[in-house]
Amino acid sequence: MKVEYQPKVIGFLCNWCSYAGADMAGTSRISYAPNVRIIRVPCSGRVDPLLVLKCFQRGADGVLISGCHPGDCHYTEGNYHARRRFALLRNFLDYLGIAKERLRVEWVSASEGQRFAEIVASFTTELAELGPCVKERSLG
Amino acid sequence: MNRNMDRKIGVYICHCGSNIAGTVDVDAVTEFAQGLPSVVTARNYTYMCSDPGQDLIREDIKNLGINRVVVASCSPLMHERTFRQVCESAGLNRYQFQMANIREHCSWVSEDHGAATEKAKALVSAAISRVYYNEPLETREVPINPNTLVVGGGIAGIQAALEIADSRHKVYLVEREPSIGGHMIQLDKTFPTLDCSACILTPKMSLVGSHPYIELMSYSEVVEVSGYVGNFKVKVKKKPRYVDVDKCTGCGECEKVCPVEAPSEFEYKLANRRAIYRPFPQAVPNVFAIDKRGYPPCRAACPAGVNAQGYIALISQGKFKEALDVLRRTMPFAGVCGRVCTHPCERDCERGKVDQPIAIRSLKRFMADYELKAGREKATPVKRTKEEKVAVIGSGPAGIACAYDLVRQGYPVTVFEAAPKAGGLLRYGIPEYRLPNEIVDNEISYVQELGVEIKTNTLVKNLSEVFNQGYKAIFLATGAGVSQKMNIPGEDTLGVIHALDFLEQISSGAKASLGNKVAVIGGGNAAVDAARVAMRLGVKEVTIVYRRSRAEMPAIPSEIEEMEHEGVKIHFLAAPVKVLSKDNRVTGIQCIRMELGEPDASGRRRPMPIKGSEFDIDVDNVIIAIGQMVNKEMLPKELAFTGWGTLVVDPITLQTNIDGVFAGGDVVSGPADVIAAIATGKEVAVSIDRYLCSVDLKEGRPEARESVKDVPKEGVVTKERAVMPVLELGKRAGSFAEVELGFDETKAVAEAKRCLNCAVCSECQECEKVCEAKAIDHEMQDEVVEEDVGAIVVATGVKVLDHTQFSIYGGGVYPDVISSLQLERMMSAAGPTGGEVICPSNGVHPKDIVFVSCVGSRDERTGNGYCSKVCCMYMAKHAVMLKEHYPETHSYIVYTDARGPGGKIFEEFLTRAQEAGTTYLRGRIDKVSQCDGRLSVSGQDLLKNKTFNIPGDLVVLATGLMPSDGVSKLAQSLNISYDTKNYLLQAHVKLRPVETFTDGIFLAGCAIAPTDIPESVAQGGAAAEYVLKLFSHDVIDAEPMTSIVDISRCSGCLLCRQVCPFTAIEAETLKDGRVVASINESLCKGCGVCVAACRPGAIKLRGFSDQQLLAEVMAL
Amino acid sequence: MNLELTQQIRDQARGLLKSGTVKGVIGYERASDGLTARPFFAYELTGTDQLIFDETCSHNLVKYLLDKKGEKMAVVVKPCDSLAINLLLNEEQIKREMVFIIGVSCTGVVETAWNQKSQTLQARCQTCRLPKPVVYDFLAEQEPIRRLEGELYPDILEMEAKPIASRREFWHEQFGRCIRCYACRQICPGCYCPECFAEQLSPLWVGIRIALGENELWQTNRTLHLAGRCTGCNECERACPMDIPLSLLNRKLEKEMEELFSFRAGLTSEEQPPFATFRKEEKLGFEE
Repeated sequence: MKVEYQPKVIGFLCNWCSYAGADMAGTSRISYAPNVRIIRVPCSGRVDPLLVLKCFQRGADGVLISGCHPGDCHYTEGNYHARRRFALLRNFLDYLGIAKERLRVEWVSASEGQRFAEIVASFTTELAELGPCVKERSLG
Repeated sequence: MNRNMDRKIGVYICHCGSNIAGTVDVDAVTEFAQGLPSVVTARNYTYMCSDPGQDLIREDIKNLGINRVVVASCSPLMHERTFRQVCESAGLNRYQFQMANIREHCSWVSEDHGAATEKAKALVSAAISRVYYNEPLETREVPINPNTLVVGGGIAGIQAALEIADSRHKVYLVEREPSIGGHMIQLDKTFPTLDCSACILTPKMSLVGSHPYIELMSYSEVVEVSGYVGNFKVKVKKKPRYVDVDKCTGCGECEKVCPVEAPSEFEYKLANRRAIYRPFPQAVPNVFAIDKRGYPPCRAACPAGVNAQGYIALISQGKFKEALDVLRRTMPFAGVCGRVCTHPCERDCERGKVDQPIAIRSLKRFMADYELKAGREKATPVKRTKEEKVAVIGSGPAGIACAYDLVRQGYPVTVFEAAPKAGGLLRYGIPEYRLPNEIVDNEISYVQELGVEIKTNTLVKNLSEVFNQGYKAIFLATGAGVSQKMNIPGEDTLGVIHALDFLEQISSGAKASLGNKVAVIGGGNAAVDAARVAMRLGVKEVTIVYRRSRAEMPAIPSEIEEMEHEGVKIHFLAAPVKVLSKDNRVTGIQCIRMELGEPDASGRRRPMPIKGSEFDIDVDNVIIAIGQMVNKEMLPKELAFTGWGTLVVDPITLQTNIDGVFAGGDVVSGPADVIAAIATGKEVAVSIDRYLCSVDLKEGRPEARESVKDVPKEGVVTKERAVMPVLELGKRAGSFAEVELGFDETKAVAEAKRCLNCAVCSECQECEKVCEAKAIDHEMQDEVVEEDVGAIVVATGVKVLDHTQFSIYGGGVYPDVISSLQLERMMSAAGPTGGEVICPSNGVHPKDIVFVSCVGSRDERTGNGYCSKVCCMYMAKHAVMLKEHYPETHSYIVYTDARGPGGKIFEEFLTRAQEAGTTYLRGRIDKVSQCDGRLSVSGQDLLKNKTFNIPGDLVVLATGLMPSDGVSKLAQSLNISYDTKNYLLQAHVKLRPVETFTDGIFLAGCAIAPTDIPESVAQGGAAAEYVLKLFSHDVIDAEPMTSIVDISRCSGCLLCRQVCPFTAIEAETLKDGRVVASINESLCKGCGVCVAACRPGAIKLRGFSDQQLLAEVMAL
Repeated sequence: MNLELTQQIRDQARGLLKSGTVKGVIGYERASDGLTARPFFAYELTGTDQLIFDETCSHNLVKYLLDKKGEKMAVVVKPCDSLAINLLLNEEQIKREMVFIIGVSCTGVVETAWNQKSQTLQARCQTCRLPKPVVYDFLAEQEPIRRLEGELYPDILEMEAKPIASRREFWHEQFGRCIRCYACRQICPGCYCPECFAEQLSPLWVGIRIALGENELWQTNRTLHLAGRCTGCNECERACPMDIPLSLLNRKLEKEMEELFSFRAGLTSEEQPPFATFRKEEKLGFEE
């Protein structure tokens, strides 16, 4: 089998909606690209932008932040804070030369296993087209 | 890497049978893990969650001194708790454990074995890296409030509530409808045992009603939930039922007198109920509720807010006197407004959207006529309860309406009138053939009898004199009584008369000498009145000259019509330019033709003279009726006037520039209609009352009168509006006899019955009269109560899809296409047909009945993709029971799959239905049509692979189930999850079927997914069991995942305080004066929003610290 | 030296010290090169004669208030510096009653170096829109400067317009030169954490070695920490010994904050900063 470039994706998934949504994809046996590594967080609002920067520094090609749909946050408003933080971070990363497409923010509920799989699939395809992030950045 | 040698990590890879091992090379992962720093041992096993698997961990903890554990298996949402307990049982803190999800997130979603193994290694590596930093955590003890909230009073909610209450824990049962019972109470029999549904449910319902540990909150909704397990705060909105639950005895007297009917929701519109109703006789609580939808459009449109629906409802019941009482709650002028009102109410009447509006004005007149004919009893004077005297200046409709309202509030009121008789323009401006003086007299006398003093022949020009006489407030309602001039040459010629002067002369009984030909200038009501009076005085030829066209004519259209009947001619598009005269006597009038230009400020097209088109009309008299003005001369000088010569008043309070002096009616608005004048009179009454009580004049005004929308019109049979009989033309000349003759009783009742009762309750208040318990309160408002509970059970159930939305199956098209629940109601002995199954169209028993399954279920095109579960069985039940009751009937069941799963004689029951002669046809319906008076159901028989065409008398649609309306909003406030169809999500579909992800909140019944009654009962019981388990201790171990502040790092910027959703963070001043953040752990729910906001990294979320998450990132 | 302003500042300082209203006055004095200005703390009446103000007074003196929390100080602020006062008030780092603000209506400051004074205004002054301080107790006034209404972010727009690879290259070149001396942080009035994330060992966010990846992380997160907080005094860029164009970072986020949240730091001390709040209905480019 030809070894194709496999982008490395780190996903921060909120415990209540998106992590359960990712579980639902598994329970439903929906196959998707094996590139995403999931880190469970209580809420998308827990994710410090610094953690995302750290992912990119460590060679991630893409970072996915996923939380409950706006209005459905288990903690009522954590995802609203996340939305503001990552709206800014995306634009800033792009400015620094890390394409904004590499940071994705998605709202996935516990029942949306299919949607989660589709998001991972489209994200992976998009990242594959962008090519590796780390090599080009040749960080020391 | 500098590693702490104390850390001894054990790694355990689960095969999960082939679930993981089938895709992931578990040996390779084990070997990989073995080589990672601080890993003492790495093992794999078939089922780590099984006893032998668990023992592996326990033994390693004991024998190898393992102090950190990683299990790589399924989702932590599945087994995290299991393995934490394993650690704990071996003496290790439960939080020194970490799980790697290599099943749901890895083996189950990967087909590529190599990639899956690599991914598993990465996930295991991350978990190992993280567990290194997993600190022991201590759980906190939180006190538990042992009360429960149960949302939804169907069978699941009832069961849960009873189980919990029987264990002597308080339950608040909140039900949105007026009664508990849910869908089960609507059923006749239950499958497959054919128990009577009501017989098994009503005892439970009454138990709920009387249970000392249950507080039933019916007709209420949960609006807000906050807090956490053991300590929820719940806000419940009690909707106004306008009946005091504690006082109502359920006697039902109110229902008997209620004049309004509305389709019964309980009977699925197969029967009507009253506006005051209880859904069914066994309702719990067994009390009534009033269905109020807001202001009916007629009432909302009326400037004075007259409750037309109220009196029309009573007229329809033949309660004419009571009807008049309803009107008199607002104003005294039934006879006057019944004749001359411009009736904006009829313009907005919803009936007008079906055929024609209700003849509201004529019905109003009818009430007055009826009373006069029967002989009106003298009104009882109102007791004076107030000291402050009020002066009303002017006795037209505005003045009298104001005096009427004030006298009824107990104020001494005096009306000053300059003319010899009271009534203003009602008497002097409107001719008798339209409004007989007798009517005006009667209604003014009524007001006088109540206690209003009227001083006629009294001209008031000095306001301070009035105040000096001891009056505390003054209402100026002097009208606009001067005719406008035309400003054309010859206007002062003998024979030119102004309409108001003319009408007043006639009304006062003076003779007016007119010639043979008269021209009336103008197009308003005064012009039409003057023209018709002239005709009656014997003038041979009366012509109206109006400068615009018929469409713009402001007079009441029916009046114009009658005028033309009487022989008056109209010259449209003509304007006078000169009065022609000889010897200072009118000989004619010169006019010019006009054309209409662009619309002007009034929205009407502006008339423009056509040059050179002058023409002459020979006349002996000219009556000018082009408008009226306020007589400024007659008003006190200190008042402020507008450029139009009217008085300046505050638009809301109607107070003039002088404190305590109010003004309304034509003196403010310029010439307007009677009802507008009455409306301002009433507004002034409100202002004066507030003024005299020293209450803020403006607060809460003007009152918003939101009209009801979406008035249902289905099934309304068209019926012509009643026509007003009129005096024969021949009898009109030379006479001032009234032209319109009024309705008789039969006509009035029939017309009133056309009313759609838009607001349902008409607020006629008849119910209040008969309620001996004094339980009715029409002014009741929403009430929000707050309760503390420790646990919540959500049992909000389902709604059944409306069969009328399936027009392809004939639903909503043919009356004999009904829903299963409608059939169920017909079968019920307590139902709308007393247990008889009939065709709604003709009332006869159907012979051939066709059942259609999966209507809106298992069908994404028309409804939902899922199975509604109960339909197959209840269709079989219906077929069996129909055969028993009516042996001659034949039932056809068109099905997708006939499902009777799971024993308990379900499948046997399906067989029984077939043995009873039911024809089962596997297939889909193409359409339901009608031919030769019978229904015809056509479709494809999939077993025989041919089309079928079954004739039927009755078609029953087995409509699917959907979650109740508003459940997603409730779920959001509860912080629980729901799926795309709005069914509520369980914590685990199989192992935690009634728990949610949120501790302390449990689910039961159809809110989770369609279930039958035994399942709902079982779930209700199960949810109760979880609640009771929670309450078995006084305290609960709260997750220790809360945030703490490292004060040495805190910069005191307090951004964390601003982002915390739970107000758990406060500022704290240290001894050295530094201000730092401080977290209240009992409020903190562990979201970590503060952690991400904290720039210096001073806040740590236990269990999800920066160090732990960073360790994962570093390993991935 | 602007004699008019200098006199007003000296009079004011003298009065404040004489009456005991403040413990000291933070202002500017002539540097020993005799040409440029440097910060000066006047505690004695005699010291007030050393206070000056002119077009070389570039420093943002607000930073020094953070070290003087216990005693009431007067501070000389230009309009741009006054924004930082509001920032620190909003973040509860200083108390209003502990500061006496001597505002100056500024006509712009010029680029200076030791013993060198340019004639051109600093870039930030060329687009300055503040004629006088947003908060002050006393205002040393002169004819206000001409207000410029030109493009605020020409350099940022230029950078944004470059292809992404060029931007990446550019920043790698810049960050590659960073020696992580942290001068940018030390001079910044908004950087006052007791222990900066960059110097924490647990967790170790930024590796100790001087390498592109670590430097980038430092500069990126430093800028992020100032998002919605940087008031644009540009002291960091002036302090940078490696001439890294930090204003290109800070002002990019300043521009983003305006575009995303219509927010500008320091204009008031009350408004909630963007990351303290949210609007439910905003989408910010993410699908719902």
